[in-house]
Amino acid sequence: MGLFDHFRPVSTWTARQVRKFLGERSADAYNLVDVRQPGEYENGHLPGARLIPIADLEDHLHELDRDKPTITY
Amino acid sequence: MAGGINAWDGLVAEGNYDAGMAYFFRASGVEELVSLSFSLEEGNRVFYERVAREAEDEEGAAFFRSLVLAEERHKETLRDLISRSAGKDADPAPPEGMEAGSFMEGGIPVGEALSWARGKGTRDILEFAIAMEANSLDRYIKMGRAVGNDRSREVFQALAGEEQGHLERMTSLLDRLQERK
Repeated sequence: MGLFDHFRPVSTWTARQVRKFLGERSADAYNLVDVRQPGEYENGHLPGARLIPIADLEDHLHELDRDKPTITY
Repeated sequence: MAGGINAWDGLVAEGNYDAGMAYFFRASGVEELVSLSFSLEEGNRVFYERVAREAEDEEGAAFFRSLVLAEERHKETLRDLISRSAGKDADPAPPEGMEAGSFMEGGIPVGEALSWARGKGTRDILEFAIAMEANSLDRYIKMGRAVGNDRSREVFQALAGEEQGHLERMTSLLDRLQERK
């Protein structure tokens, strides 16, 4: 992650916007990341979401496609 | 996403990420993933076939019958994939320790699900089926990600797209049934 990545604007979407976005695209068109803990993920997660707890996020950034939009929750 | 998971009013899949992915990573290739998918689709098909026969109303029965056909199509797609990638025309064998059609999505034994469904109304069964199909969607998306081969990835992504379509039809019927209440 470069210095300028810290200054990239990040927009916040409502659940409704996210639902519409996901419903209109195939799963390979975006990165969907669940940043909670494994136990929370196990109890229920958005279908197809990757589990990357927030503390581990930096170590796993390379697994995400930078050319695609990323949605986190 | 504003509000995180608490704000989410859409579908959710359940299950341990590591447990689910452990099988994918252990699997040496597409053949094992197809084998697991094929067995689970057969389990789902057996479930829908029985609940269609025992449904309390014709609308529910017709809907579950349409899901039986959908599961058959998915099995055909998987059979076709294994035929192309491994040159095998027979039904994919179930994974070791699993009898074909004995488990549904999420690792639920078909027999237990059918015992639970006995005497239940269309709405209850539909709610259960939606939770189950959300797990199918989750699994196909992850399988699409796990395979390196383009053709296989396309097939798993297409199956994920179909599951998404089924879920939309199911939630739409559930909404209608709830409005009538």
